[in-house]
Amino acid sequence: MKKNPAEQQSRDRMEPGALTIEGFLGTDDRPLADIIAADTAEVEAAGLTIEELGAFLEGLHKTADAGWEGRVPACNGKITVRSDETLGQISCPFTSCGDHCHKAVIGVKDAAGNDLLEFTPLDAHLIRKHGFFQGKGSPYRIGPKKLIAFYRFCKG
Amino acid sequence: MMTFLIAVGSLVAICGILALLLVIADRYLNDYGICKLIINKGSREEDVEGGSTLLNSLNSAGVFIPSACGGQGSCGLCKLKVHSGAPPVLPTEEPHLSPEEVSEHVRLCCQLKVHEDMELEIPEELFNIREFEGTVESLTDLNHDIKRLRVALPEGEELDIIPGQYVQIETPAYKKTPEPVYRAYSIATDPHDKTHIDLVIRLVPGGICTTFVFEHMEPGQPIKLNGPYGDFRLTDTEKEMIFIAGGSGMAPFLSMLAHMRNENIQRKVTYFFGARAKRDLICLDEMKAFEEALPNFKFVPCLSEPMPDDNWDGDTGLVTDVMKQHCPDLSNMEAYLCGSPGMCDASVVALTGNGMPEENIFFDKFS
Ligand SMILES: Cc1cc2nc3c(=O)[nH]c(=O)nc-3n(C[C@H](O)[C@H](O)[C@H](O)COP(=O)(O)OP(=O)(O)OC[C@H]3O[C@@H](n4cnc5c(N)ncnc54)[C@H](O)[C@@H]3O)c2cc1C
Ligand code: FES
Ligand SMILES: [Zn+2]
Repeated sequence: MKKNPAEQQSRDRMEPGALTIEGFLGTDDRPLADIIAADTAEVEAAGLTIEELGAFLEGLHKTADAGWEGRVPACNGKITVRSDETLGQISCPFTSCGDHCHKAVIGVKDAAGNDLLEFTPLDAHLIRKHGFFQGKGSPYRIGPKKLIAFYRFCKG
Repeated sequence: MMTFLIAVGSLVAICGILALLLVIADRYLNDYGICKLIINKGSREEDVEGGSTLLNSLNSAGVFIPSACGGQGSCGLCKLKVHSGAPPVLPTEEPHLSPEEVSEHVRLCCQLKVHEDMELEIPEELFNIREFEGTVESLTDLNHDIKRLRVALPEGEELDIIPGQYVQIETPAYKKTPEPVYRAYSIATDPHDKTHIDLVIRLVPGGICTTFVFEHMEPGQPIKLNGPYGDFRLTDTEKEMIFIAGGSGMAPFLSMLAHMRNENIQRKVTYFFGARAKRDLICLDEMKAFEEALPNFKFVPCLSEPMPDDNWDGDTGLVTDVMKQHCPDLSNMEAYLCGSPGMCDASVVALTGNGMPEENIFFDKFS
């Protein structure tokens, strides 16, 4: 497939070892536009938008931050969130963007203490701003199906 | 049939020629040769190989520009005035530059590639920042996911630090990481010891540098580091202080407390250290020793999720809530924070909520 220079520069930053150890693409060699279009279509078919899903995760990160190392209730007590944070920030791999996010992993549990989801602040940004859920096989990819189910559980 | 074969053959030949032309063009277009970095109106000139970032080119010439993100474009610290030889401001620079800075030719040198001669302005004090090839002297477990790394500087070398400053260490190329990467770590060393650098490093699962430190680093290995950098430091007022940290945020406070002990600084200080359970606490013996040496120092560990067999009778809850209970009026105090930006923001809300003026709160805002 043909890749334009801007896409190639972003892809270079998504390679393993560039910004992160495993990179963002997993085993997916589709053009970024195709990866984004396929996942966005799935979100829209469910009557949601990528902005809603990404902003929801960003909000959960903000809630978790208030706890330092502690677990904080969210969504009327349906879930608890805790942020495993380190210092330092990680840049968005899209070269046209310039945004950066905290290095953290946010763990979400249900009220009974079962693990529901793990995401990073960069995941939330990539989904909200770029509709990019990462390539298939990327260790941090959260597929739209899983995220939509989680969102409905929290909001329902 | 013959016509078809000729057509296919011609197509293959044309593609081959085009590919060759691309390779040749790439070779020539990307070979920038030797470029000159003309620093401070020519008071210093460095010849560097073109094609690399300005940050790396300066590093290779022995000029170290502050950076906390290893050149990813996220910390905004590597600002320099570039008067010629740079392209227009890039999207990755925009969030860090004010309109005044743009008009004064301030640029992020980690984002610029050296493609031609460049004229730069570099503050003289940055020429004091140095790079060392030290040796890993020891790597000690502080708990299940935090290690203390002790680096011996090369024989005869000394480094003066101000407690609160940080260094950058180089992670060499390994496994999937094709190029060395740099990461920042706060210095935990007693400032009297000028021949070692101590760091407190927390494992970030899947992190480039911390995975290297935890899985591949061994005593005796060489390690490159540069610094010291940063303005996070104790003020010289007499104000009562609060320290707040969690996890590896302990590092700068080890150095600050050692400095207070060395200089017999008797300011009142309460250190709130947030952890989940007892297994996450670190440096308890050192904190006890500081409490003995500094009568006005109190260490308050607080656990947010103590385990039943922790038998914990200390403070429990979120560190910010515990701090608010202990210190209802903060109007005449100072606070020093070491944690992620989100955690620092949460602390600022809690501290100002109990009356602390925002200008009395100190932390590395870019971290
Ligand atoms: C001034 C300063 C002082 C510091 N002092 C200390 C200190 O004293 N001790 C200490 O331990 N640290 C300190 N740090 C942090 C340190 O610099 C590093 O940021 C930290 O150790 C992590 O580095 P790493 O290379 O292991 O992780 P990295 O590889 O840089 O980042 C890993 C993180 O990136 C994110 N990520 C990775 N891949 C993906 C993906 N595909 N999708 C979405 N997100 C992803 C995740 O959040 C993951 O947790 C300091 C930082 C600064 C700026
Ligand atoms: S080193 Fe340039 S932004 Fe961090
Ligand atoms: Zn982005």
